[in-house]
Amino acid sequence: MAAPPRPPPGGYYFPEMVMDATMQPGLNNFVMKGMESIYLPRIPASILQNVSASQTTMVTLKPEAALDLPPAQQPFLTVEIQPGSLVNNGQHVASNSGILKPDPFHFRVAQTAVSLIRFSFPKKR
Amino acid sequence: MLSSHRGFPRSSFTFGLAGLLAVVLFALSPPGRGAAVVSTPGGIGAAYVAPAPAIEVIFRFEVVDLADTTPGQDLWEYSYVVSGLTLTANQGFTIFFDLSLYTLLQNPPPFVNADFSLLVAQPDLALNSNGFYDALALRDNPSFADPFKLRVVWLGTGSTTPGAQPYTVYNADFTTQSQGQTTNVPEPSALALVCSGIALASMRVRRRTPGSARVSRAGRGVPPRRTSKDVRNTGRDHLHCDSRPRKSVPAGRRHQHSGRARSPELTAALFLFLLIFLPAANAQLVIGPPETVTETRITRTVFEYVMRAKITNPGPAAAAISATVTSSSPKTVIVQNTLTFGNVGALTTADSTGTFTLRHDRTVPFNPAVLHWTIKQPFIVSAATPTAGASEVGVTVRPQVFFSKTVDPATLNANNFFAKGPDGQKLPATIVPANDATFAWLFFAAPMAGASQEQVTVDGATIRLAGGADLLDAANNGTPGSKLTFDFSTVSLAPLANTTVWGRIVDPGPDLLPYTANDSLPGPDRLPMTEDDIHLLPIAGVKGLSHRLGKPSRRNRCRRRGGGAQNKWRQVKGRAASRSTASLREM
Repeated sequence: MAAPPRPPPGGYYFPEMVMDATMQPGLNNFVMKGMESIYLPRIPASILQNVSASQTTMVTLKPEAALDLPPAQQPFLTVEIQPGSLVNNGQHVASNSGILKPDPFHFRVAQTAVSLIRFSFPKKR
Repeated sequence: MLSSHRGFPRSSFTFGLAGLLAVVLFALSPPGRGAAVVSTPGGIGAAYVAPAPAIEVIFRFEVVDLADTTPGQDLWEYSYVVSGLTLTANQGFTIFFDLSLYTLLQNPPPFVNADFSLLVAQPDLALNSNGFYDALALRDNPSFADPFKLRVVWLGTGSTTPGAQPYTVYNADFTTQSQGQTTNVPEPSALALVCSGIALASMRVRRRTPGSARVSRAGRGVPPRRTSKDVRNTGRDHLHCDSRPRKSVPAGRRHQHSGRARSPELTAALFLFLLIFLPAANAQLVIGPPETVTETRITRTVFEYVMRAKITNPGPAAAAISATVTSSSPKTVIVQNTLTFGNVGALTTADSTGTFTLRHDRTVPFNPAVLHWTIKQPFIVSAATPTAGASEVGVTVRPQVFFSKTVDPATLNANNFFAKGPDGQKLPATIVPANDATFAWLFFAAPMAGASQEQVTVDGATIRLAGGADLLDAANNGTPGSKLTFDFSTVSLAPLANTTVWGRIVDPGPDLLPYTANDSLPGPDRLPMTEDDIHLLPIAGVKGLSHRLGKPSRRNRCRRRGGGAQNKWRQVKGRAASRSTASLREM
């Protein structure tokens, strides 16, 4: 059951998730086994940071994206991105190799509840 | 403290009496035990055949604690008496000294008699090889009347004393004839017990060796007299008691040893040895000291060692690493010179995946510095995805090949890196090299066909090393410019009848946590996280979508008909949800 759908809240971002699901042919399957609902992490759009195609970018964890990480530890959660090392969703690489022109790029670091992303990891076969 | 352990009777009378008793017992033995059917020229008949006498080789030892001549070096003297052993010229025996328990073996060893050539090799830490005392017979039936003696420095703890050791008897070609353990007690056969009883009754000779103090009671077959002052466990089968003050042990050693622990000197030497890293041709990769895997005797002094080594990579990941080794010492001869390491990750130390072999003359210590390494890193395709022969590969997968060295991206083109579909036509693709030029992708312009065989080709004939002229050995067959092809098959996208996939994409709410009060309520069963929960924040405008799997729903609930086969990765694409185009699509 669910309440009437409503537009996603402004200023938030729902990241793309990949999940491992098992489907049975000839049956009605749930993406989440036994559960109709699929939660996606709600991420403030304000934490998105531009990534440079020409110099190293250090993406940091912003306070609004730190779920329960103590402020003292937040500065230590960073991702260093070398120029031209990202491949975007449009199958183009943010590269300085001269082969492809990089698209405008964004990157984020956010802490997410484990229960939201647990389904994304491959299950033990 | 000066003491000794006696491990063998001194009187030859004992053995003479033993031989006499043996003859008597043999004569009285039941005939059936020695009967056998023999063939004679006149036919087959029964005859009594004497069984071959089972001569037991015994290495009995006596060990004496000597007055130390060098402070901190616990000097002992072994004395061995060998019985039951018959040698011919160029045969011999070797007694081994554990490298963690002994050092500074007396060299040259004391003369025994003219029938033997004696040799000593020191324990070798670099080879992880024990020291040894070797006696080679110079004539047939050499005399064992004289004891074989050797002084050693004992590295054991204050509570242990030198004990039994392994020995081998070898043939003229140095293959092993027999092997065993030296012993400090007579063999427990009934005959030997009878003989020892008679011998002890008839022989009460107390001997003292000059420089040594006294003979232990246990060594003479007398029950040990324990005292509370000093009880020293000498091993498995010997208890030594001494009421006199124990020889002083340096304070630094007293608590350092435990069991087979090393002396401070040995530990320091090991530490320094491990600090040595051998120079290598490649400035980045460094091969450490080799470690012995197996040891085989080749000649009297030459042993063959199968060894491995570790490689340290302080730089970026390196693939397909191998090395060849040469020796600058005539005492160390390389037998098999190639050592493989495979892929070595960045900033890691890895074991070699193979071994190399050398022969070393143990008359001199092994010096790892005589080994000179040349590290090789071929320019090959070190890995590729999908793997060759992979099946049910997603139709949007991008083939990726990894290079063992950085490639010149400018030399990658559609003629030397491409994929073909089942019709033999090249799939339109863009080549995307990594920023560090260690790998490259094929980005297809369109998804591959489902349930089809694809083939990727990497032709090294025109792919060059970055900053060099080397051609890629794509097939890793030792030929620069070789070609690699590998196949994989894609997953079937054929719809499956009566199959649906359901899901509802919901928002965890302001607290960012799922199944809390701001995003869901228990349903009629009043239990949270069950199927009838009421979700308060479904995201509007979401449509379930996967190519070829059904029409998107206009509602929040995404539904796909005709879902594919099992175990496929799905993607919940939520970013589009903020633009009302969330989808569920197949990777």
